[in-house]
Amino acid sequence: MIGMDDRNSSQQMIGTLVFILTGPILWAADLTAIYGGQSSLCAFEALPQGVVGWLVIATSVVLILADIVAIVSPLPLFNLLVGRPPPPDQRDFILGAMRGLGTLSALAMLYFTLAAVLLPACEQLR
Amino acid sequence: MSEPTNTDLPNDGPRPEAELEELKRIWATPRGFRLFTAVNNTVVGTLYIGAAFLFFILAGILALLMRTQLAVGDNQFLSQDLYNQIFTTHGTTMMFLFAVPAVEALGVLLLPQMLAARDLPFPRLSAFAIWAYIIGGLVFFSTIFYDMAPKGGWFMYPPLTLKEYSPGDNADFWLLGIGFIEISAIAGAIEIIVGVLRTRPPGMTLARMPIFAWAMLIFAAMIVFAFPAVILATMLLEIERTFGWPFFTAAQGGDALLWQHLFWFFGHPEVYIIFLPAAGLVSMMIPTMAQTPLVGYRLIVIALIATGFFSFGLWVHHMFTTGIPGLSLAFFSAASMAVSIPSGIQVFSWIATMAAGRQKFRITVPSLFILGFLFIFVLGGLTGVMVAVVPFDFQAHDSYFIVAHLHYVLVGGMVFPLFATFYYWAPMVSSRMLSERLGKWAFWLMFIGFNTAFFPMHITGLSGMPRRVWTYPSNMSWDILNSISTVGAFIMATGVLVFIIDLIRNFRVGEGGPQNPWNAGTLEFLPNGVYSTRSIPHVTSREPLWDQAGLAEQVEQGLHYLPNAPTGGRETLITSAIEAKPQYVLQMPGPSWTHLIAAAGTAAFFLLLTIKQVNIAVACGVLAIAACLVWTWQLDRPDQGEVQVARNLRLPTYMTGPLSHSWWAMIVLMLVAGSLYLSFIFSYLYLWTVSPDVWAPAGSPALPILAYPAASAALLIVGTVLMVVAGKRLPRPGHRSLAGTGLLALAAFAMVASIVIELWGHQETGLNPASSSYAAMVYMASVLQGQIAFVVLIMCLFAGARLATAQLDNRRRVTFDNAALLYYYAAAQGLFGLLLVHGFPRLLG
Repeated sequence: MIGMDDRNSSQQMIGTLVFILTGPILWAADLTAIYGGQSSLCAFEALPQGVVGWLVIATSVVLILADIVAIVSPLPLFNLLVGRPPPPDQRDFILGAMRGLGTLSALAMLYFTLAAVLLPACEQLR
Repeated sequence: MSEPTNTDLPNDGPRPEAELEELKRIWATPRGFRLFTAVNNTVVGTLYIGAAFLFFILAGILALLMRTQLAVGDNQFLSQDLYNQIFTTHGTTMMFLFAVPAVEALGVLLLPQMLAARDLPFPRLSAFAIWAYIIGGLVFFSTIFYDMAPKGGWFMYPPLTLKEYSPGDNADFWLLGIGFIEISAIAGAIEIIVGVLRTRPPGMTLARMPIFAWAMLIFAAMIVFAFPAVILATMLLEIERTFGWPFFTAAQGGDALLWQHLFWFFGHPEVYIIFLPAAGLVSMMIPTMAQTPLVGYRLIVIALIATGFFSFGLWVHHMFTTGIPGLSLAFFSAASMAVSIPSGIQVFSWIATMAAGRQKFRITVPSLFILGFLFIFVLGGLTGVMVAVVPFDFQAHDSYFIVAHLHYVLVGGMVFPLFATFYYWAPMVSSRMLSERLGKWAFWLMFIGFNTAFFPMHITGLSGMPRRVWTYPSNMSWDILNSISTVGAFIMATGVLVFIIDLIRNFRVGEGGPQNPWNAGTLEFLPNGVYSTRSIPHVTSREPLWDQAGLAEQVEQGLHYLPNAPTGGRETLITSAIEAKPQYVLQMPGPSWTHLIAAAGTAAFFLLLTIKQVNIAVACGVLAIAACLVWTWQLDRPDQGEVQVARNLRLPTYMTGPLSHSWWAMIVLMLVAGSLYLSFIFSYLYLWTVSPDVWAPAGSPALPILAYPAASAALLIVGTVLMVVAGKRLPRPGHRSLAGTGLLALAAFAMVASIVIELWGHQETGLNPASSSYAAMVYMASVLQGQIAFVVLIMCLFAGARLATAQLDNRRRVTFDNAALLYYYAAAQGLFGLLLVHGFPRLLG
């Protein structure tokens, strides 16, 4: 059985795809936190409106920072997810795709967060 | 670029002549009446695209009828009721029966050739999806002839579509018919995801994948996450129409806007589901026409992924005028503008590629359609940015401006690339090229006709003409613009007619067409037969036909991988997803009646339910399940040991666990089920935010005592343990295990019993699902759990039967692994559902 030299290919597959999608996954978390989390917190009326606003902003800042860290220093994250370095012939492609998507996601998160900064959190809730 | 020597190649030559004959025999297309049993991608793919094109023509004829009605004011050509049916059927057919199936058909038809696979990994699943779509689609479309077609618009908004305002079966045809066709789309998506990830040729790493394969991978992933939302929505609306569970009735705590949220969570990604594959096709054709590699390959991949993701954050922009909060308006306006960035990346990349190859760029029919696409799509994109601006959207909403915008995006973004595709890839399935002369006529008529029809609609809309109106008064100054639009529509139809004439004159299904007539660089233009390529090439470049000298001849001589059929049946090579290293040889099924019977039975089940013929519907459903069981009984074939696929490479013929392609198909199916359940959780929480007053314990009967959910949860946990034990006690090869069969049956029983106990508890409290949206949601949790438990039950009993007949053991265990995976998922979903239904109201106090 000569060809079976990548027995960990399922971890490699999931890890690599998740790594490439780091930015969009953080963006999705941001959208869920802002649109879903904010709506739920406001509906519960457990926290004052100002606190909810700050929570939304804090969540976004944390996620944007996580995205930036991943863009600046991607290899530790790749090793964590995949358990080995990227294949040499695909290294540039994988890191470049992840960084490109991460940058677009950071911009999108920033755009969302601006709305949360500028507008009241719990008015007209639906 | 260097000429490889024979020893650099995977196999030695010359190959025995008998190998080729055997491949031809094994992969031969059934003839005569048995053609219906065919599963080869070239046969079912051509059938699929043909059916989609038929629906395009039918829906186009409806459009011409509408344009004739609107040509002048106060027109009586069509009755108001028929017009409503026609515009609903036109939109529904174009979106659900033409656009998505057409691109999925191109995936089925082109991907195996592009990836040099013998076929996609689940050919019968493809064939099932295609036949289900054809049968269901034709029945749905025929309702227009019996005054039975839906009339609520392609989006079917309640409350208009509730029983009170839409009596009769018209709306039910949409809800059950379209819901069912979406299941067929999901089946195709699973096939495409596993196919792209696992059947690429050796050496075709992620960084060397054709852009169309990337686009189809993202397209299929989007279907997995988007379509469940609308499937849930159609379930909820159909249940409300049939049983009166008030999900959308405001008086009982429901909300019509819940439909809009679920529908557009699917509906907006749907636009990109249609556009991304078309963009992928364009990214394949432009480099060939310019005879230069695509500029910015990596950027295009980034743009495709980003568009796919961001499209899920835009759905609310269809709801700007529904009174949603200012914060939501701001989020989704921002997101709608942001998505233009990745789309812009692609457009600039295409222009840069054309510029890079401008000395060699050929103006052919595909080039013309691509240039037409760029012009029209960019205009549609620009008006898209306009309607993303909330104050402008308030003015333009529901006017003909939107009709113009959506047609510029969809016709420009999908129909023009599709026609380019027809001309470009016709030689793959036709022994003759289509005519350049007729093609140019078709293009110019369609281009001029389209712009004449739809550009004036921007002005008609800004002049205040609302969409979906049957007629309008003649004194509104809309007549002349509408007359121009009507003339344009007929000019465009003439262009399509010229294309059909070209098809009739020149399209002949069969081999022997010109090899690589455009001098393309990708694998689908390798010499092909019914078995795909003679051998599966080792790829070292993104454009292997340009960069690997002599590749076509080597492949044809069988000097690459798998030049024969070592197991004596249909097979293809499975490779690893990232590095594309050969892993095993997949034994594939051949022609069969089972998928056809299953498709007909499934379609009949759904459509007969629509007209309340429950007994016959159930009989058809049972027939469909029986056909599926016979079909799957033939799939899990015995291990044939290792086989030689190259000079120095022997591969196994059976694989289990995460390396197996079927394991991944089950994971994707679980993602579909998970998406459906997430949509349910969203719906539950959404209705609670809208009407907390009907939620228990304040506005509804108190919850059942904790003993009920505890017993239900315990059964799920016990069942999971039984599955784990059964997995550890699988017998050795050749041995039966009745104990294992018993464990599987017990586990399945535990799953079913957990649902019965849950329902019993709520019945005891007197909770009536028709009384409030809360009660309806509580019972809906059990309906969804019951749905997946039904599948688990069948899979467990099926695996048990195989255990009892010595066809499942600790090596040949794929059937068990799949049943166990779904069981674990269903148990987790059940536990989460119990937590939501019993925990959330208690949390509220």
